[in-house]
Amino acid sequence: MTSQNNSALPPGFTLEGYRIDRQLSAGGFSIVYLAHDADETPVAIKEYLPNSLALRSAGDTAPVVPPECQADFNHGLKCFFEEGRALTELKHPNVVRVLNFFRANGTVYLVMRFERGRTLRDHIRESRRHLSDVFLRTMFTGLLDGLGEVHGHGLLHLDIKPANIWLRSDGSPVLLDFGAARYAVDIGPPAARAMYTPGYAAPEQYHGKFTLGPWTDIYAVGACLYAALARSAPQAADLRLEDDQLLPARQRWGDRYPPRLLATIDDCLRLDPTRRPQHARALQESLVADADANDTPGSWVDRLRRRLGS
Amino acid sequence: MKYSIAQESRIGGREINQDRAGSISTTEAVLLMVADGMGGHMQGEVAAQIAIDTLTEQFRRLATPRLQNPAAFLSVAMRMAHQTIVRYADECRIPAHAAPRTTCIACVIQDGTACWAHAGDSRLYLVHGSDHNSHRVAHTRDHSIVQRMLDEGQITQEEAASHPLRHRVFSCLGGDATPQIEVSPPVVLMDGDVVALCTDGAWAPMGPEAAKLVASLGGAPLNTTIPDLLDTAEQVAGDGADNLTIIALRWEAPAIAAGIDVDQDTITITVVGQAADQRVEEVPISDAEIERAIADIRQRISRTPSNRTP
Repeated sequence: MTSQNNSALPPGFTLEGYRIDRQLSAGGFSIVYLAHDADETPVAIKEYLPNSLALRSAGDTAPVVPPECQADFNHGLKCFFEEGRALTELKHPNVVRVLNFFRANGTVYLVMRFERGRTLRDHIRESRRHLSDVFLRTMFTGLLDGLGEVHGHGLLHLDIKPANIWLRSDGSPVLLDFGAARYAVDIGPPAARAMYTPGYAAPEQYHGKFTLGPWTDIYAVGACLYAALARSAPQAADLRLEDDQLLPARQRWGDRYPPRLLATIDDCLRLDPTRRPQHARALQESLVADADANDTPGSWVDRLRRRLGS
Repeated sequence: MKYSIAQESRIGGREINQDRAGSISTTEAVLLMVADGMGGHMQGEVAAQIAIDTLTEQFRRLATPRLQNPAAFLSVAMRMAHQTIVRYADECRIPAHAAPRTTCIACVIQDGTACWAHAGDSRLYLVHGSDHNSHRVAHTRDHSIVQRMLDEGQITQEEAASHPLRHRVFSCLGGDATPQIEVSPPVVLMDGDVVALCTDGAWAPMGPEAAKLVASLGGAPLNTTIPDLLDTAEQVAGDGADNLTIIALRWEAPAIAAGIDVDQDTITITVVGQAADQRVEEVPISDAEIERAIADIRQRISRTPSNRTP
C-alpha cells in the first residue's frame, strides 16, 4: 500500500526538537516517522491523523477537520491518549518504550524508541526457508514475556499480528502498536470496538458471548505462529464460527515440526476461549515443554527453562 | 463541468433486483452511487435503497454547491447509511444474523478530481487515457474473502473465480459488524476518462477479461457501450445470472492539473467503531482537557527510570 490520503510531514521538518527523517508507515489512524532527537538518537514518532476524519494537503502542517467529523476526531484523540497512557505503564524489553508525548500542528504525537530491525510480517515474507522451530520457540517465548507484563498491568493488546511484532537485529522481539489496547475492566461489548485484524482477532472479538481476556491475545499469538508456518493468516475467526475450515497445524505440518509445538498452536487457536492456554505464562511453558531433543545444559531450551524457573 | 452519465440495471436470472444505483449533482459536484443488497439476508434491497437515499440526502444537504471535503463526506455519509440500516433492522425486530446488508460504492467528482469510497465487492473502474486502443484500467480492491486469499497467495485467480466463498464480503453496510470504509486518494481526471461503478453481477462473469471489456467504455458513447457490456456479462453468466448494475460517467472537460497517476492501491480505514445503538456522543474535548491528558502522560514518562537507550 503506497498511496495514502494524507500528506506526510516532509523530511527535514522539525517538531519539538525532533528532525523528521522519513515516513516509516501509515495506517488508517496515524503516520509513523523515523526522526532524530537533538542528540541524533533515532526515534519513531507516531502522529495521530485519522484518514477519514482529518485531511492534510501537501505543504500544510495542520490537518483540516470538517465540523461533522469533529466528534469522531475527538473520540479517536481520547483513544490515542489511552494508548500513550497504557504504554507509559509498561517498561519491559519486549514492549515498545515511550519516550515523549506532545501536542503540535493541531494534533498529538507519541515518541517511541527506535531500534533497527524489521517486522515479523516482513521476516516471514522475506525468509526463503521455513522458519525453524528453535527460532519460533525462542522468539515467541520472548514475546510472551512482554505480553505477560502487559496482562500484569490489567491491559489487553487486542491487535497482536505479525505486522505488530518487531524483530530487533539481534532477533529479540518487541511488541508494537497499542492502538487497540484496552484495560480489561473497561471493556464494553465487543461491538463497541472495531479495531481488529481478520485472521488474528479471536472469535470473542466479533461476538459478545465470551468476555475478552488474556486468552483473546493468546488466540492472536497462536494465529501468528500459524501464520509463520503457513506464510499467510489463518482463516478469520468469524468465518470459522460458521464453517471451520482451518486445517489443524498438527495435520498440516506434522512431518516438519515437533508435534508438541504444533499441538500448542492448535490449542491457542481453539474457538472456545476456555480451552486455550489461559495466560502468557501457560503458553510459554507449553512452548518449551517437550523439546527434549535439544535439552542439554546450555542449550536454548535449558536457557529458556531456567528463565522460566522450571 | 462537462460530463455524460449513463446507467443500467438488470435483474439477470433472479426473482428480484436487489441492486440500486443513482447519481445527483450540483453545478460543481457530482455523486455516483451503487449498492448491492445482499441475498440470503432479509430485505437486501431495502438496505441498498437506504444506502442510496442516505447518500443522496446528505449530498443535497452539504453540497452547496461544493462539498467542503469529498473524502470526509463519503466516509461520514456511508457510516450514516450503515447506522440508518441498523436502526431500520432494529425497528423491524430483525435478528442480527438475518439483518439487511448491502455493499456500497460511491464517487464524488469535484474540481476535476474523483474521490471514492467503498465497502464490499462492488467495484469502481477507472478507464484512463484518451488515445484509442490504449486505455489503462484500474479498479478498487474488493473487500471479499477471496480477494484476501488472493492477496495472501492462498489461491490463484482461476480458483478465485469458482471459489465457494467468492460472494462473501468482510465489509458491508448494515449488520452487527462495523463496516470498513475504504476511502481512495483523489485522482485527477483527464479529458475522456471514464469512471464506472458496478455490482459483482456485472464484473464477475467477465472474469479476467473484465478490464479489457470495461476499457471499451473509453471508446464509443456510454449509452451504447453500457448495454453492450451488460449483454456480454449476462450472456456469459447464463440463466443463473445475478443482478447486474452499472453507472458510468465520462469526463469531458480538460483537467485543471495533470500529473497524478492512477493508483490501484487505496488505503484501508478501520473506522472508529460504535455499536449500532451507541451513537457517537458529542464530547468536545476542551484545550484544557487535552493539556491535562498530555501533562499526565509526560509525568508518567518522567517517572520511568531509564527512558533512553543506554
